Amino acid sequence: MSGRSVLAGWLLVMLMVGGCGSGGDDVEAEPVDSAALEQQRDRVRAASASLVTGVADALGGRASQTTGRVEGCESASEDELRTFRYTATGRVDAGPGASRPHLDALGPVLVAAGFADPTPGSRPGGSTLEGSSGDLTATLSELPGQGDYVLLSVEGPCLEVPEADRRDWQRRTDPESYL
Amino acid sequence: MEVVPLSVGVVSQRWDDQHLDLAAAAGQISGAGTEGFTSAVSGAASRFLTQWKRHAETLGTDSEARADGLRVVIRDYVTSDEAAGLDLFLLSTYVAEQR
Amino acid sequence: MTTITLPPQPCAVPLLTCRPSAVRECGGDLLAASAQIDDLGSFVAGDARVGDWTGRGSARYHETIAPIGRRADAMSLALRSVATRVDAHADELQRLLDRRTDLEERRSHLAGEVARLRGEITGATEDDAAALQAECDLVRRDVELFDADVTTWSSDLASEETAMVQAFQRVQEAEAVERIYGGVADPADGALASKPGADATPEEVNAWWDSLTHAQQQAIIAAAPGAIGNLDGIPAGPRNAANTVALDRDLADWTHTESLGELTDDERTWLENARAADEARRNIADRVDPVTGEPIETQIYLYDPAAFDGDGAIAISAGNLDTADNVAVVVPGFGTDAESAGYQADRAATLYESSRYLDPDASNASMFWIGYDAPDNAPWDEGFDGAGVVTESMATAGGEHLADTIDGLRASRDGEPAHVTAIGHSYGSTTTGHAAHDHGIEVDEIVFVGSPGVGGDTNDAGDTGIDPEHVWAGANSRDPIADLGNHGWVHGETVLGAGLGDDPAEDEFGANRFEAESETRGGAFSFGDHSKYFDHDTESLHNISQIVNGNDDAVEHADHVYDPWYDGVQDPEHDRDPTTPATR
Repeated sequence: MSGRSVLAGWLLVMLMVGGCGSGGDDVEAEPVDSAALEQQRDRVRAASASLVTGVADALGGRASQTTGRVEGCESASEDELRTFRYTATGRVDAGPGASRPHLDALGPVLVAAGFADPTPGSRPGGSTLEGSSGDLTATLSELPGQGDYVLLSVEGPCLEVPEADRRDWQRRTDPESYL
Repeated sequence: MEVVPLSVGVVSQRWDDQHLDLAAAAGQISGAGTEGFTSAVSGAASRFLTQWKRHAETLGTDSEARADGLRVVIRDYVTSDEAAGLDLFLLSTYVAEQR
Repeated sequence: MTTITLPPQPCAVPLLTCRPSAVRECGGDLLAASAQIDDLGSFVAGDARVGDWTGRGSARYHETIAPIGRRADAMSLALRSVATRVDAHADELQRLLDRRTDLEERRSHLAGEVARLRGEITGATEDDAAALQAECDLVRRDVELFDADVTTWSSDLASEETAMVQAFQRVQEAEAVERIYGGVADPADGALASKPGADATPEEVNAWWDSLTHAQQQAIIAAAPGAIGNLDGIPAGPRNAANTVALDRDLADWTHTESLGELTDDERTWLENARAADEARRNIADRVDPVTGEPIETQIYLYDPAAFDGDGAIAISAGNLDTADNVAVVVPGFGTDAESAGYQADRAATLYESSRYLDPDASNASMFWIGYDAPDNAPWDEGFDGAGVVTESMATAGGEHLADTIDGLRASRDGEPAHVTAIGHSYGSTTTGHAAHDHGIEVDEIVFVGSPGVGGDTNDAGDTGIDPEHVWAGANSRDPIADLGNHGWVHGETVLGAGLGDDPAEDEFGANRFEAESETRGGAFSFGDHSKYFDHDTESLHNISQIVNGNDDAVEHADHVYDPWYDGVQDPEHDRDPTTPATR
């Protein structure tokens, strides 16, 4: 190690002490029990099953990729996430008789699945229809340039889990279909 | 008596490693799932996996036998009157199987 | 009275119950096991021979091991052939499933047509009869064609099933293995004999790989995955296949040894790294592409669980590195080693998702690259004392590895070159700076985020060797690590010759600074804000994704940090309200 390198290290120490103040994040959410995320998973999966079935019926189409997963929201450090939510997704390929834009026919389907006040919106290359049910949000999207299908996602809010549980949630997989 | 070099001890340990690895391979073969196949194929797949688990285990057992055989050679040598040399102490550490 | 003949009902499409992904996993397990058996053959031919042992005992030993080697070689070839057939079977099953879906849709449509015609005939008049009969005849032809296609599909399924069963039965018994494969040369051996030496360029390696037959390539993947898995110049597809074999084999080996309570300390470390790689690939594969809704493709580009004294080396991509229009390589920093792979995979996935979301017409691959020995002593884990030994030496060495990796990515692709972005986060930006300055990496964009300095010799954006217009910096105003770079004329480097280099977000550096504040930022410096750059719905991820996609005009620029002689360092971003642009 050169003398310059050693000095570089010590300079880093000085700057850290001088610049960081008390450290820590000022926007910590209240830690919750992991059971809340477990419950969110069950509610999201049940709502997704109802929604994807409705969309497939309305479009005379076929549902696929009906899976869910725990996703990290906010990072805590270089190898850890602090908050998580459950997200379920799916795809419905429209049947031969379905007419575009498909989202025009899907407002009542969202409502029937418990997601009130469907609101149209846009995304790059396409359009969306979004509704909410309590703290769950459902989004249907259509990308006309990509193919004749509708994507759906249902997710809950980000929840902080106890520090000891973070790695377990990060590693959690959920490959079974929610249907 | 023929001189048994230290390298024989090293190789005996490598045969033990092969034994372990092949036992793992046997487990991997028997653990390979057949549930994805159609019913027309899954029976043949199961039979194949069962048979090949045995094949891999046999190779592993043969490897272990080679390791054991070399250990016998080492034991006979280090306990003989003719044994001598600086490597003798090190060689004697290979008499028993160890990792 | 006129009689109208209705078309017949289309025949039912037979059920097909199977899971190609599970079949593919079965093939992967068999391939990994075949690699293990191949190792025994190689061992017998090489290290098992004791050259300095002579005499009758030695002769007897060498005589007895030769048949084991021959048997292992034959068995590995036989098992490899079945594994390859199983993999092809998975592909064929998927094609049959897709064809069945099309048939079901056609059947549903035809059944609807028949029902419609039946209804129309019921209320038809004599005048309608001729037109209706013509329509019925047309539908009849469609139904007949459909029925023929169902018959062909059923026949194709039966043929495929028969072929698969025969492949299993062909080498089920040891005698058959010996009869068919005994003494047969492994195609991998000849191919590996012509492999270029260690000093070969990625272009030479790529030319060698392209010169091999498909059978030789597949043989190397199965028999010697370590020979190509981490070799620059080999395309990402075969690297992934080889590294998958190596990873599955390692997991099986060390898990088995662990179950016997016989793991050595080194093996325990390697097993933890292998498990982290496994977690990482699953983390990506479990997520879905925001444009297609289908699982994100993963590629294991680098896998060496024993590298860097057990810290390990792992790089995994979300997306296809061989074909993507836009390729991003993310270089992590402080506190990163192979055990961080699971989290880093999450970061690669968010970048992939965001890039795809923002430009659905472009294809993307984003890879986390733990390919260098990064400082383990993260300040937030070990306090300021732990951070006290950070120097540029690891970044210098890492920069060389990174430059080699990018050379390899470039050389191994066919067709249109990708738009490549190197993204250095934290100490990874120091490493990226060194790669660019010391080796001249062939990238289109360089992004430094949360940078403690981009290396002592990189004094401005032009020193990276690429057009400064394509050098970018993101720094959250609350990120204490991003505040560590040298500022102004008077700093650690000018006074003491110290520091990790200049702050790329400062005006004098000359890079484009983009907005990177977080809505959840604190009031003062916090380490949490050092790790939010790849979180969804942040300014940072949005802007990095636009850069990765080459949509520079869509990047939201920020005013630079500056350091006036009469005052301390000023960050104009400190008082701006953060936004939450959608990235998913």
